[in-house]
Parts: sequence; structure tokens; C-alpha cells
Amino acid sequence: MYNKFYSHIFSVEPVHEKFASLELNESEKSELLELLHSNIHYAVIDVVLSELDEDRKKEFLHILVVKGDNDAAWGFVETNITDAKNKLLNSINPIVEEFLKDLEE
Amino acid sequence: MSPRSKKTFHKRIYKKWLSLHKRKQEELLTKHKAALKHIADNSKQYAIGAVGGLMLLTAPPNLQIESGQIEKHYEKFHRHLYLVADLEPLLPENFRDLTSDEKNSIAKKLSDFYKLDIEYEIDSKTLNKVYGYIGAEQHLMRFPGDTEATHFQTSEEAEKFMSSGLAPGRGAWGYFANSKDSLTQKDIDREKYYIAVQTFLAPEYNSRVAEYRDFFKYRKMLVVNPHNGKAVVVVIGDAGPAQWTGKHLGGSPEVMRHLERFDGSIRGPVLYFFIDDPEDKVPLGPIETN
Repeated sequence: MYNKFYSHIFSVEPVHEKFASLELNESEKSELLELLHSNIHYAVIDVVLSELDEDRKKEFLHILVVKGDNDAAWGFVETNITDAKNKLLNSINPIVEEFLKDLEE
Repeated sequence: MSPRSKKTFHKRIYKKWLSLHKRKQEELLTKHKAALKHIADNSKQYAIGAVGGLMLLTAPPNLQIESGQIEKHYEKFHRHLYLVADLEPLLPENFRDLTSDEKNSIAKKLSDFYKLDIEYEIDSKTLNKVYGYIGAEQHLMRFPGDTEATHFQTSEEAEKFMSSGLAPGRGAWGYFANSKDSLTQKDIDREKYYIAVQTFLAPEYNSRVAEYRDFFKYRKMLVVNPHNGKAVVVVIGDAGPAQWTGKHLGGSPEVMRHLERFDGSIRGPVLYFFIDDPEDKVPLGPIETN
């Protein structure tokens, strides 16, 4: 369900571990996890599109949306964005950290 | 953790992250509108094939997207994106009054989109604006003796909307019903989905007060947030706000919530056009597309 073109560069395992210690039912966990992933996704898409010119943006979206090819999308990102992995992690990690912090409170 | 605090804990986190989700979605659509519009235009033919990718952009929280539902969500997202993107070139970059040509273009766009007769002028009568900053209004008393305790039909409604308060006076048209017993569903909906507009600033209003009052009273309108495509069918239920407020219209708590518009420093503009619906067929409330 959460398999995205960038899924291999990060893990939300700490979130699952935290969930295990909380008294939330499966539906509540699923809702929260979905929100976490959607927030990550918007952040990632924003980073990628912000790094590309208009033509490249369209090309990337075509691969992602029309072809639905995660491998090709990741290949495109790596080819066209310098230091792509770190740039994406710099946007993903703070989101996961904030989410974990909220679960701690 | 007690069941109550557990529920509060989940609700608090859910609310915060849902709010972040919506904000990021709006930012993304605004920031990369041209590319997203392009792909929406060019992927339409792929329907299901395009779903995976586009759903990644919308990912509605708390909805488990089953295969049978995907197309429905995709279509909704698609149309939603179209409206936001299509309105963008019709609106000025910086806020100002719209020209007659712009009003016509937008009315046509909205008519096509919603398959309704949307007009900015009916019988040569128009409001002072059709594009303005919206502020938050309170609930209105629907009948003599209506209070916060009697106003809401469900505890869920009360929880969501009671904090907006009940205006101390009646609306511009008086009570919606003469008594609690005579209150109809139509009255309830009219109060729930009302806007206050500056009827007193309408061209020629002061020289034709009675005629204009009758025209504006519960006149059906479409209000659209052009930045997220959220829209709601409402009636004119009150007059206001005063000019000095800097706001051009007001929305009931339910209207504001659906449009995702807020008062104060983060207020934003909306489009508000008449719906020509002489047979009263268009229901009040949030509207997607027809």
C-alpha cells in the first residue's frame, strides 16, 4: 500500500515499534500511518518537482502517473537531481521525527 | 491510558496531521500547478492506469482505497484538480475586483463544471462583488428561543460547531421559522449553509430597497474556494459584514469548515455567484460535481 518510488531509502519501523507500545486499535494506527505517509509523499513530490524545470517535471510525472513505474521514477530522480537521496531524506526525516515526537506526548 | 484519554490522544494527533496533509496538498497544487494540470490533462485517457500515480498525490486519509473505489477517488481528484487549475488563469494574480468579462468567464466555467446555471447577475441585479474575502459568522437563531442547547441536531454537530457561538440578534431576514414546531428541514439547511453578503452595497440598492431585499432574501448562491476547489451551495441569510472590517462576505461555521477558509490574518478570498434555480432543485450544502 505504501510502496513508493522512494520507499527503499527510509523506514518507518520506529513508528511501528512505538505503535506497539500504545493502546491504539488497528484502525486508529492505520489512519495515523496513512497520514504520515501522505505527508511524507507530499514533501517528497515537492522536493522532486522543485528541483526540476517545467519540462522535466512533466516527464517525471508522466513516468510516475501514467506509467506508474516506481523503478523508472527513482532512476529519473537519481539521474536528474544531484544528491537526490540526501535531499529527500532531509525532507522525510524531520517529518518522521515530528510524528514520533507527537506519539511520545 | 483510559479509553477517554486514548481517544483524545488519537484525535489530537489525527487532527494535527490531517491539517498538515491538507496544507501540504494545497501548497503542492499551487506551487506546481502547471505541471500537475498538464499531467491531469494528458493522463485522462489512461484512467485506471493513471490512478496509482495520481492517488499518491491525493492519498485521502482514513480511507482504505479498495480497487473498486479507486476510479471514483481518481475521478474526484481529477475534476478537483481541473477546477483549481482552470480557475487560476481566470483570476487576477493580486486580489482586486473582477471585470465583467472575468465574471462572465468564471460564471461559464462554474456552470460547465457543476452543470448548473451560474450567474453573476440576474434580472440586472448583482452584488457589489463576486470575489471577496470571507470571514467567519456565528450561527443564527432560527426561531424565537433558539439557543445553543436547541440548535444542534446531533452531539457530533454540537462538538464541531458550538464553539462558533450563536449571534445575539436575528439575521437580516428575521427568524427562519416562527417557532420550533414550525421549523422545517429547509429552514435548518438555510441556517446551516448561509452567507452574509453586503446587500447594502449592491448597485442601486438604496433606491430600490424593497425590491432588492426580496431579491436577495434566501437567494441561492455557489461559493467556491478557488485555491482548493471546495464549493458549497448556500443562501444569502444575512447582510454584512460592515465595510470597515475589510471582509466582503461572511460564512456560517459549516460553510467555513467545508471551504477550509478561516478568519483573521489567514483569511482568503472566495468566489460567490448566483445559482439561477427558480424551481428550487439544487440542494444546499457541499457540492462536488454533477
